[in-house]
Amino acid sequence: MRSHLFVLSITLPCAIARADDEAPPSPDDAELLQYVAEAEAEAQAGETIVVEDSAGPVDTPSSGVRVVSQRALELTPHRNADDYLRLVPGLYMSQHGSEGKGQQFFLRGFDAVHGSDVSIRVNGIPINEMSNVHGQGYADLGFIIPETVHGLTSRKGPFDLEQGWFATAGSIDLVLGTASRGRRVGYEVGSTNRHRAYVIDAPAGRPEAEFVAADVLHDTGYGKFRGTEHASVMAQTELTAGRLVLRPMFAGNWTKFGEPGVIALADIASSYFDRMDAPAGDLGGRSQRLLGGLGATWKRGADEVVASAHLGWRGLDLDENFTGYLENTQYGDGRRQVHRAITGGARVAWRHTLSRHVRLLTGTEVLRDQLEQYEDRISTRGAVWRNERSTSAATTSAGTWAGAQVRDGRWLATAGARVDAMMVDAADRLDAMRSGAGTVAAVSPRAAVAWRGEHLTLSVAAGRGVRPPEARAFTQRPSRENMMATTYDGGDPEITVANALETGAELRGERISAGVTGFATWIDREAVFDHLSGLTALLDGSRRYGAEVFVEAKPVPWLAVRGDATLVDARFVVTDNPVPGAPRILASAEARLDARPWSAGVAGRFLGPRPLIHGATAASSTVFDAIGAYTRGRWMLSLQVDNLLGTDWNEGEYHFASRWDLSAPESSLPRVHISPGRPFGVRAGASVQF
Amino acid sequence: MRYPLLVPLALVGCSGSEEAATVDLPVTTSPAALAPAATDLGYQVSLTRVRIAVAKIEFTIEGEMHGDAAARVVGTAPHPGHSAGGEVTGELPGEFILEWNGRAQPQLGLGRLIVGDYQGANFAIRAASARDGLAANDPLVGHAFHLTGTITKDATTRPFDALLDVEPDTSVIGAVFHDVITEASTETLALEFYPTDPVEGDTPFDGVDYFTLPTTADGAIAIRPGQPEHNIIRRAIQTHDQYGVQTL
Repeated sequence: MRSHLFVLSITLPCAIARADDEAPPSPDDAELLQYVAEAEAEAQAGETIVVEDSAGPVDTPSSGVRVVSQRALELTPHRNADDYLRLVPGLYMSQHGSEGKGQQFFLRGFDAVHGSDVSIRVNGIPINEMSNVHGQGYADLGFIIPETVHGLTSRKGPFDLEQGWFATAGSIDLVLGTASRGRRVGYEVGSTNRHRAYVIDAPAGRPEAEFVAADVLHDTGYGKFRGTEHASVMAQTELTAGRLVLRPMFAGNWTKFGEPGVIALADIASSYFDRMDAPAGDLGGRSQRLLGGLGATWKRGADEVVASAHLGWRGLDLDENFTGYLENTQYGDGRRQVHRAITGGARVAWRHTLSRHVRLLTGTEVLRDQLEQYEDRISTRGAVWRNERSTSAATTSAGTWAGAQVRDGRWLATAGARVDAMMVDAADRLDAMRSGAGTVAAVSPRAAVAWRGEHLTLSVAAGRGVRPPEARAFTQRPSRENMMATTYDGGDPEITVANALETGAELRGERISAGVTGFATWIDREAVFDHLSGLTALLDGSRRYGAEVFVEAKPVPWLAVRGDATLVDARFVVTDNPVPGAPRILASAEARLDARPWSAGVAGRFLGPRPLIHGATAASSTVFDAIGAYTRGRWMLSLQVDNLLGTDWNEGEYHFASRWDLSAPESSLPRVHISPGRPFGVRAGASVQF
Repeated sequence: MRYPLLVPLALVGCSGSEEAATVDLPVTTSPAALAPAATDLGYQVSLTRVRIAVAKIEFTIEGEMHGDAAARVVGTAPHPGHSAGGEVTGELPGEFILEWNGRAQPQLGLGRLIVGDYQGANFAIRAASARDGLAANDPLVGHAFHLTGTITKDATTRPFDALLDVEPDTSVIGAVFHDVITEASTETLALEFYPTDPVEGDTPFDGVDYFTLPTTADGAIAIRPGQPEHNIIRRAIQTHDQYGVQTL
């Protein structure tokens, strides 16, 4: 990584110096530059399939792309930056802890758990954590102050060359900045004893990327032990030196949150628990992050370089108990997970316009994680009674891609491939004999073609996404009953490969647009590291077939409405069983009214019944949230309503065995457990701009 | 789509959570006579009665791991959103004395199984006690296994009596059980003890030269805890190779 940073720091200023000193362009170059300027203007004119942005560029004309502006985010009901991701069509997020813990993601028939199949980047910096103790690809956005999110780009499927690890179902890029300039101080109070204060200093006249922001939050939460406390600080500036634009950023966060556990429906039916109870009591977690980043863009004529580098420290401590006393009737099944990691990386993407028709797309990225983690069994009082695992590991991963974008009249195509590799050295500190190391690599070809008429766009895309194995999967487990470890105790760690196909049609009118996308994903074999057993489970192949439709309209300049629906049939190939948890039907509706001084937004989501493992079914739900704001002079008053209809809904549902009532007969049979959704609640806010 | 009707149904109303469908089936031990086992040292072990003190009988499905991906994840506590392998979806909780003597045995109880494609069974092995309804002088009390029968070699037959103990938390994991359980299933699940491993052909009685062992006053070969031979037999008899579940 150090060498890449060094190269970046040397080459970019040198390139600027050459650019500033260069002679006037030749007639041929002038034609090319004219074309480049036209293409950029076209891209910025509002086309959704080619969006130029320093952190979320979309070169590939695939169908499942959505770009959301900061104003649209502001008019979306939200409590935190996590909630912005609900604008990704077909993405369902579930919180089985409380605010501050990473969400569980479901997208395109994948149960991406805490991020294993959805790549999330902020300003180009990967947020998914390699080998987090709580789950591979753990993506925690709790450090982001929502007012600093400048835009969101979601790309479903692995069709773009720049999508790296974890983009098996798709990827989401957030860009930091604020269009609202000046100094703003705000305070929000909510019906769950929620108090949030924030301050943003975004100097007028400076680029929208430049700001300093901080917020603090206390929320008792709904039900029992679902509270959260949080403090974040973020800063970013923009420095311009000729053609080079640099964006140094910093973020720091501390969060404390409850881990109430999930409740068996049978325990609610027997009145042993109330729906809003916290079976696990006051267990909880703490999350900390320090992150420094440097983004850079450089353009000269036919060349454009987008780069970023980052260095961060990460801490996660979790005490949780989801099964009560099922395994141990004396101490309980509580478990403590501790994760510490230092992560650094760099990324350079270079686009070179070769001719009127051809642009080369290439780049490389490296990531280094040095992590320490352990897992202990804890009693109901939090005392450690057994050390389960203690691991230190270093993972070094690299990806590089090369391809071309071709334009010819109404046709636009990209094609290329990327190579991703990871080297792991994992030490088991409880038993050095189990330490292990290894290297894995995968090649991912990707291609997309689009035909763009005046109103109609047709596209087809194919690509491969990759999910890396966890570092701990490289440690070795002892064999049982003298059998081969790979026969009885899990398989070798390997990259999980998802091959995807997508085709779409989009009709864009002046006031109304609509689109339909069909997609399919196949996984031959899936390597899943079960961190509870410490084994790599090699699952059978699976396939996902689905379709998405959307309609959006802007009948009048101050009103925008949108609706979308995603239908997916996700199944394992051998058994034909559905992929547990993955929604079959997810629909959402949004309406935004922006007629200052009044503005408002409503967002609703219908989640169809979901298949759970072993044939159980999760309930469907319909939930609406709303936001309204009134702005007068420097003041803005806002009111947000959670769960407008007061629906009793389950945010998460799971099917496994638990035992909380020790007086009840012992049973290992799985039961449906729920994580209750947020009830009706209101939040009022006021902010003033200086 | 597999369930096209779900779409309009789901859009017009909300549905509640549903637990997995289950069926209750009787569980017992096999009435079949115990076949003689031929050991590697030329003995024939003919068991007339086998009793084992067990607890927590479980029935498992393989989940989504088949063929070369058949890496079972056992003994895991599940957690929302994480792979919950070792998929126990059927059970007969409680403590039991399993007995095989060539005759039909009383029903152990009704096992509850979630409908599915079953692949295995587990049970814990424990020390028997008076709680099991055994007479105070029953030799199984305080032990896990009691095996009786005869041992024959070179036309000489001697009575055989073995009492075996196990370490705490010993379980048989993965006894073979192939059955597709549906809501309409009515079969009886019969636990089997195999004196000879039906797959590998070896026996738990291998490696012991029985006629060199001291005999009791009535001439029986007795295996008791503390003897090296006890540990040899115990090591093999507590593996899943020796057990299975058949349907009656």
